[in-house]
Amino acid sequence: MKRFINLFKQDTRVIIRSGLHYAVIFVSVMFIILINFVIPESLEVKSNEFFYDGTQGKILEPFLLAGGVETDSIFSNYDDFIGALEENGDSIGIQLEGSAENARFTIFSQNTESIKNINLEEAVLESILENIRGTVGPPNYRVENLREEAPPIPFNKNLIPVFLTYEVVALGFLLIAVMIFQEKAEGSIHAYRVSSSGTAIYILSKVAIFTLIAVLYGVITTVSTAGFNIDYAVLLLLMILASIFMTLLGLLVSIFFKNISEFLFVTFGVLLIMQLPAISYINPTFAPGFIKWIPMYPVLFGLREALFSTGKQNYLFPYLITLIAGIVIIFAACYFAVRKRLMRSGL
Amino acid sequence: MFKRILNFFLRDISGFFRDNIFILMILMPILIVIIIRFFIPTVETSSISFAVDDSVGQEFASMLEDYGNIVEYDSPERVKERVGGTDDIIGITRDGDQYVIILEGNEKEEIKEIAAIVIDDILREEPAAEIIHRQVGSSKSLFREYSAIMAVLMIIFIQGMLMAFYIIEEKESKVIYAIAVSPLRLWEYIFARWLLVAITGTVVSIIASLILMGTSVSYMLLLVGAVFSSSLAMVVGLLIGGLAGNQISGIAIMKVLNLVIFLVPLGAIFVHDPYQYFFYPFPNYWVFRILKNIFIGTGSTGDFWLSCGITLVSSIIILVILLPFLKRRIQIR
Repeated sequence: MKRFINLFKQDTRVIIRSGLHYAVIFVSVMFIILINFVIPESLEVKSNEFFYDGTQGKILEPFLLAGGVETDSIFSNYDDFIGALEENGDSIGIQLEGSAENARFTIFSQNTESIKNINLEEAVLESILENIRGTVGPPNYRVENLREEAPPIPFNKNLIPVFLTYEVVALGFLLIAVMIFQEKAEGSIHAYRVSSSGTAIYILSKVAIFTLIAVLYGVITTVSTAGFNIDYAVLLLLMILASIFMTLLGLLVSIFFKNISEFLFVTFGVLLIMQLPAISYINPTFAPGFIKWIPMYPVLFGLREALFSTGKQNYLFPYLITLIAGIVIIFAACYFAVRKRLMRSGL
Repeated sequence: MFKRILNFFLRDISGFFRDNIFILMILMPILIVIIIRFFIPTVETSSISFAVDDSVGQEFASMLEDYGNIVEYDSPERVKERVGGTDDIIGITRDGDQYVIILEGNEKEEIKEIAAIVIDDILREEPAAEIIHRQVGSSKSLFREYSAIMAVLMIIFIQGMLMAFYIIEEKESKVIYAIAVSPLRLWEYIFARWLLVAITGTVVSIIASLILMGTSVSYMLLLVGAVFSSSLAMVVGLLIGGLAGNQISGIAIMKVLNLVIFLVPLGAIFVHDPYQYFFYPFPNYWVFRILKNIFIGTGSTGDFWLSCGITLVSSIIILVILLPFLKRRIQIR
């Protein structure tokens, strides 16, 4: 234990000397300002739908306006409508001609769309027409919610789990690697080899310092942006485990490279893969199987549940099992790799 | 003078070959864009998912498949269990004559509406309207274009960061003192390093673009755009390399700068065109705009050249401001 504490103190001194804490404080303050004062609670996403109402009596326009469509997205002149489509490469256009009883829609697409999405668009348009006609029958379905409807998460607060996952938790991935390269360059790893402390203490000390930084970093940021009314026990548990996992992963990968320049390219690749679950986070209907296997997936969604509880039960256990299993495997791999490549070889 | 620049440039190149960095420099971005390329069709063809059980019947289930992906279960309990999972999936079962839409409770309003609209559409006997589809423009998938923009942006700035860590290594290993006593002047040192960032950044960007976009973009514009963009990447590299005393501080500064380098373009993708002026003070916004002109082509040729000009001028201004500081930190005359 004494050896561990001594090495931990030594690693802490290296971190403080490098000024890393200033960068962490700066990024944290920036994020707190962004969330609390800059990024709005609801984001007005670019409208990419334009409508041309070419019907007798303009039957579509009042329906769209009542539904909240902006007036500058509805055109009464066909050329202006086509002009708007051409100016906005990511837009789609909807044209309605004829009358309510004999209507013809034209969908102007500019992007590649799947046949399923085209069918969905058609279903929506037919539903709009039935509403205009007033021929909507009684619903032949009922809606059953598994839990009480959760209030929507404000856009700015919804970014907190993303920051915690990809900035706070992932911090150790890069930093442990840099620390290893620096120790190699300075030769302190040679001194450690001849000391009586073992491989496990070497790994644990570094994991402990980066996990501690991540926890402090995460808690300060969370308190300042989300307040106190959240499940801190779950939040801490997930942050600690995820941080240990990412730090060990950084260590394991870095061992196989000579210097930071080589490692930097690999880092961007690994972090890119780790960031794929963010797409599912933004669009939860998109969740292909392979994304769920990426360790950041349970972390991201687990942190969201801890921050903005929807009353989901029994979600934590599978997430924890996944992370703990990952840590055990990666620690074993790290142990053998560090022993072979750092503690024994002449690297 | 040119000989000194060339010699220093060649020294860097031979160092790269010695450290296998060239292999990684070419291979890793290619690997990254291959992963992106593999991923693009999954996103482009992504659709809503439904969890159903036997009660809805085979005919209904196969019709539902026209609107989204179907996952079939043997009981309503299993459907509920699946709906309760992390992602958004709509559960549909049947209770007597009535369909039951099962939702978790935290879905967006559109998801609830879509479920009802799809059931109505399946049960509708006659189509309510004639619907025609017209493809306009060049049938682009913007996900692919924006992925290419972000990939090339990342590739260009990685070259700058790589240069930063070379400078830090030179400082740590005291090689910088050997350079300082050589006839090489600071501006020659900077020019040689910019040459390296520009050449590697441009070559790797072109390879990445070929993988992601094929021949659908102007490679002449990309070549010019990457060279101009590399001026800012070089300034970023000099800033990190100059400020950092060791590799950990280098990473710390890189973390802070990355926040601005990558968040600004990401923000610009999602913010309305009339509010883009908010990003104008950020030099990296103009790099994003150069690439947007190349990959999406929404602007005019004038806009492309204007963005190139602003990127170069802002890089030179930052460099001039940094110069006295760099002289002190890098210690080259």
